[in-house]
Amino acid sequence: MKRYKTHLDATVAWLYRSIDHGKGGSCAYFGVWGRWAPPYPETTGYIIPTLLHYARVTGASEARERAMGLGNWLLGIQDEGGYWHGGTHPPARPNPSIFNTGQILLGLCALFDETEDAVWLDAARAGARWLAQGVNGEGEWEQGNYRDGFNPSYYTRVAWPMLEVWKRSGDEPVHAAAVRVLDRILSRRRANGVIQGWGFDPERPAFTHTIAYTLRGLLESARLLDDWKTYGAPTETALERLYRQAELYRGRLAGAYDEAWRKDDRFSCLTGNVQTAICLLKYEARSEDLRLVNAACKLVDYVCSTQSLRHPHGGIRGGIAGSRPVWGRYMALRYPNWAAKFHADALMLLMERLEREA
Amino acid sequence: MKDEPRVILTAGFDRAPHVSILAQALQQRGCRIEGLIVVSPYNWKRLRGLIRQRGGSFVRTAIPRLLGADTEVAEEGTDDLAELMEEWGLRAGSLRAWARKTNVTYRMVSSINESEAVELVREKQPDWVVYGGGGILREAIIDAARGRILNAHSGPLPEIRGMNACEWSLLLGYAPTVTIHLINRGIDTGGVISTHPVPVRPGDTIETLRRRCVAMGVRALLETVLHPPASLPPPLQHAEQHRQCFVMAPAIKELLARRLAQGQYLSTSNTSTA
Repeated sequence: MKRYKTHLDATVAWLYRSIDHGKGGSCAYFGVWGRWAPPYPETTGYIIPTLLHYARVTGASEARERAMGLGNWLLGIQDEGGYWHGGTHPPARPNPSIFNTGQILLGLCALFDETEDAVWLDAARAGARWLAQGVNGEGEWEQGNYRDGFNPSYYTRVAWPMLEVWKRSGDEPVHAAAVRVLDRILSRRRANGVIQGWGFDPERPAFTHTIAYTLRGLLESARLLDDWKTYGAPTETALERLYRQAELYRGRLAGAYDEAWRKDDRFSCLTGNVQTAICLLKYEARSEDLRLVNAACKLVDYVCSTQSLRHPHGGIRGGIAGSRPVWGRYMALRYPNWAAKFHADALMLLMERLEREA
Repeated sequence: MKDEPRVILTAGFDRAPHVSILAQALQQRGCRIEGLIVVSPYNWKRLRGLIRQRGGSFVRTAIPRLLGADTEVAEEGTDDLAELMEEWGLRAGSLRAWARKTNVTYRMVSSINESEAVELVREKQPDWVVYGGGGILREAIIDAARGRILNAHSGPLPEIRGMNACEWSLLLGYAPTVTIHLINRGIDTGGVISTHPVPVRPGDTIETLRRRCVAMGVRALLETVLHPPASLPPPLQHAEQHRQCFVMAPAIKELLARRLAQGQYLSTSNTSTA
């Protein structure tokens, strides 16, 4: 437990540095060539709940203040249409982004819960309405996709924040659109638990990063809709498989899997590892089975084993690389802020679970 | 079954104490040891697999054991395996040396599934292959043994399948139990022959409890070979519905150790029923 706390503090300290260099937001990543990337609105958005959680767990008021600062920065760059642009800030070209807008809603909802200040919910509602308006009758978006014409299955992670907004605002069109999106994605589920199109590219194996995005979106949507059977149960086959993989390979998941679960294990996608740990812990909450926690421990332990706590450079110290080895296919030679975010989330969830058990 | 049971034993390394004791005890009681199949620790592929599976710390803890060093036992705990040796008047030692002395066929193999091991089983057609370690058995050797492979599993089946079963039993709320069962192609899915409760005593640590399970397993395997079931039990139904257990992560092991130290799992009765 003490070891986990050490890693958590180091990770959060890295996130602070990413904010210090981020001109209001959090830098997308640190590159091994020695430069911080520009701030990234999408991940800045979902780093907010991480910092608020950390503040609650440790009593660190700095984390709360920084979360508020990130929120204010995001309000300042929100388009009048309610959306945010994709990519880093400032955007090279206007590109209203579905996924990025969705992730930012998570931060705004967390700030609303923390402060009860309507300014956060109003901004979130504007974003959610923009998202809902773009969903067609088939549960798909025609504009604002990462790849033109491709609605990936990890958009479950857009439906989830939409439902978070609906929970707080009661906006029915937002709820209806989110459900259409989820139902459309679930229609792609195969018997082996794979949800087709859960990667960045429908023709290539999916990184565990986007696999876990997809599963997490469904798990959280099941919670918000209070309907495990429809939205949660479809994740079980995949989660059980990832549980076994995590155990068989001592916490080192392959970096990517194709739709027959054939793995590309030339590298491990570290953020996918810890995101999977989070999914297993969320899943475990239903059945209280420490075997799943055991697998989550191994996934987190593996990522901890790759984290440098003493590196002289602040861009690497406490950061989590995209891949292991660092030149692996996912975010090669970079330390993304979302990897750090999910690592911190996984550590906090794990520590809380173990404390409860103790 | 003939009067003189014929047995082949497997071991994960040459100085596996429980296999050494069992081999001697079986022979003393009139069984014919048809062979010992021992997996060589000096096998890069195996070591690589184990290190990958269990991490670098495995090297620190396992190498001394592979070389025969005794595992650590808490001072206040009892060592049931040592007690068993004392009770039976036996000493554990090198299986190779014992095989040479007693003229028993000894095969050192790099994998339990390699043809040399399979051929030995096929050739000798023993009444039982007693599994004392060596890794997961594949189809060829299971088929060669005609499904007559005995294993002492340190947990109740089918609920606690897989590794660290004794520890997982406690953590998941099952009474520690040794199950004698047949090995088939699944993971701990073969038919159950008998079950043997294992008491938890004050001062127990994970290690002492493990050794109690091992000692209980040795007793129960001996009993099974000497007094075999009238017929082989059928495979467990729906065993795979139960999630498989794996090696405990350090944080989970810590949790269990703490609970054990607090006396959370003490048996109401501290008498062995084996």
